[in-house]
Amino acid sequence: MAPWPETGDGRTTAVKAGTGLKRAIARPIVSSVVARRIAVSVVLAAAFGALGCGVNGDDPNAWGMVQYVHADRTFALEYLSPPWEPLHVEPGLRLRITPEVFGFDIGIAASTHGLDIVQVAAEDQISKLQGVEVFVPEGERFDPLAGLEIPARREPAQPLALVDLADPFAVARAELTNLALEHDAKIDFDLSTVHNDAGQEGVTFQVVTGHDTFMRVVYLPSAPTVVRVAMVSVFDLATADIDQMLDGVITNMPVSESSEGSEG
Amino acid sequence: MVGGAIVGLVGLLASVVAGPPILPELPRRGMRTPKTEASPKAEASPKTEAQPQPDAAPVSNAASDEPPDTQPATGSQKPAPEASPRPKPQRAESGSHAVSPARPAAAVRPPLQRVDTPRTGAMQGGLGPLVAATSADFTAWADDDQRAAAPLQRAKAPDSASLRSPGDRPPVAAKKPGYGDQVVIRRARPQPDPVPRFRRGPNAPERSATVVVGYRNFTILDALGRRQAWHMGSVEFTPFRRYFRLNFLTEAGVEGGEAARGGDRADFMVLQKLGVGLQYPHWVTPFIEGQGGVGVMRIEVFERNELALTWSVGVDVGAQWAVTQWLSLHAAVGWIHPVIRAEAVTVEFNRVAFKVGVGF
Repeated sequence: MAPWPETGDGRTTAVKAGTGLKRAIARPIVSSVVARRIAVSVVLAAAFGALGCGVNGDDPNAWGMVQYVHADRTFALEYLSPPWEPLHVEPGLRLRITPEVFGFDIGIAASTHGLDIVQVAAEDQISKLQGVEVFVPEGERFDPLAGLEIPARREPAQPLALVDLADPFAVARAELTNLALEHDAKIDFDLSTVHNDAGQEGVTFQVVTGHDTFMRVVYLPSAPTVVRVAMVSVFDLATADIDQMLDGVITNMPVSESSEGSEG
Repeated sequence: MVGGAIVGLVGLLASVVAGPPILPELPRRGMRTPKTEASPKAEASPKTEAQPQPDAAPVSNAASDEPPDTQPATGSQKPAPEASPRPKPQRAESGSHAVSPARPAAAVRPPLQRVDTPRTGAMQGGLGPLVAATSADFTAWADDDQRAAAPLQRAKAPDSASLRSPGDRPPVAAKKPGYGDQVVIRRARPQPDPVPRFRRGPNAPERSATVVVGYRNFTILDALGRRQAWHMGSVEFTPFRRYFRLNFLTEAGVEGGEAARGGDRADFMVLQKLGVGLQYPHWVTPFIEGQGGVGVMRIEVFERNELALTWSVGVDVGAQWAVTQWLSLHAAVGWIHPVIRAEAVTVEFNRVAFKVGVGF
């Protein structure tokens, strides 16, 4: 039955029908006064609660950027944590990124990315950095060859034994040759010069190792020896994020700028 | 010859003895007409002389019509036809000082100017001589009055004349009184009256657009401190769209700018918002609307995906231009406050957002 009296006049009925529709639309969503006040309060609280509940995004450190300066002040860099997390800081800094899918840990004892910064020494072997399994804590390291009788492999010669360790290009060429010849690494891009944010000129290359991982290495001049920044990942490392991170590595930090071995 | 000379001398002597002939004074307006000996009729009608004759205003050029010696003797002339029906003077001062009466309204000639002369009878000011009305003038004025009173009559051409071409010889029209030899004939074919065409414009819209497909842009900083422009596409549904504005917005966007260089546009977000505001629906509908909503955001840094929660509040101020009844353009500028809740940090921004759209 219509909510209005039937007049028999079609026009009047239509007008009344329209009026009823308007009234229905104009009827407040929350009819009760108390409930309406509560709803308004919730909306206002949510609106004002959204203000000032976080860190100002214009702050450079808002997302968790960490400024790290090594203890001997031979290098410094900025890294974002998370996703980067440190494994150890001596003799050099070693970082990794744990695998996650949309913020959830998938429980794999491995890393998607690894980073190692250290001053090179004559006995260093860059081949030991191959594979992302290197960049896991000691207790979580997974050795797929454990328990198998494998013939001992000839220990390769030290690639940096007769190299000028203060020359970035000499060190880079020696280690690239070692990776390519001794460990079947495929060169992704050859030796090339790079410049960091401080204007320092370094040498870089990228290879695909026998572990089906990407390895990108940057050599920056330092004293007394070159600082090597090696990154290993299952993904391509020639990306804007990696470039920006590598450009932020600075060597030979002045003493007065920051405290030693600190993370700011 | 000698006799003529004698007669001339006698005349000269007589003129010297008698002096120059004395001419009668010229009658002046408002003055009593002097008696003259040579007008016996004037003596027979002294009553007429005694009355002031405002209409018989003496003028100097009256001599052109009649001899000057006969002009003063108004009583001897044929009486003016309007002497008795004329209205009385509007102002009558002393007997010798009168004003001209009001003339009939339909008179063709310009009315005589009123001249107030002093008692001495001398003409004052720079006014020219006045014209004395004669009986012929009165007759002409009466004819003019009749013509003026008669309704305007046009020479009515036959119906066929209206269809006659301009080159044809027009028929002879009968003369109508009051226009002399002037004949008015319609020669031009009357043009049909243009049919008035009025197209009523559509009424101004009483409501804003129901659905708006829009684009919003704002810029924040990403996790690595780079400028990250967000290109947001939105679909808005507005059930209440008269003066009170209720808006449901679904927004989805991808990143751009410096953070997405190299074609890596991996970050995106989806938001569901609610907007409440006020507006004035018209061809251009200005509005102000507060918005708030929540959504999810995918952030990719170092090839690792992270799912973040985001919410935002803001205010949009803009307008909708109703191009047609079912199409409108939407533009707004506003303040937006996005908050991003990532794995370990909560970051917020205050930004200016620009928005354009098309409404239906």
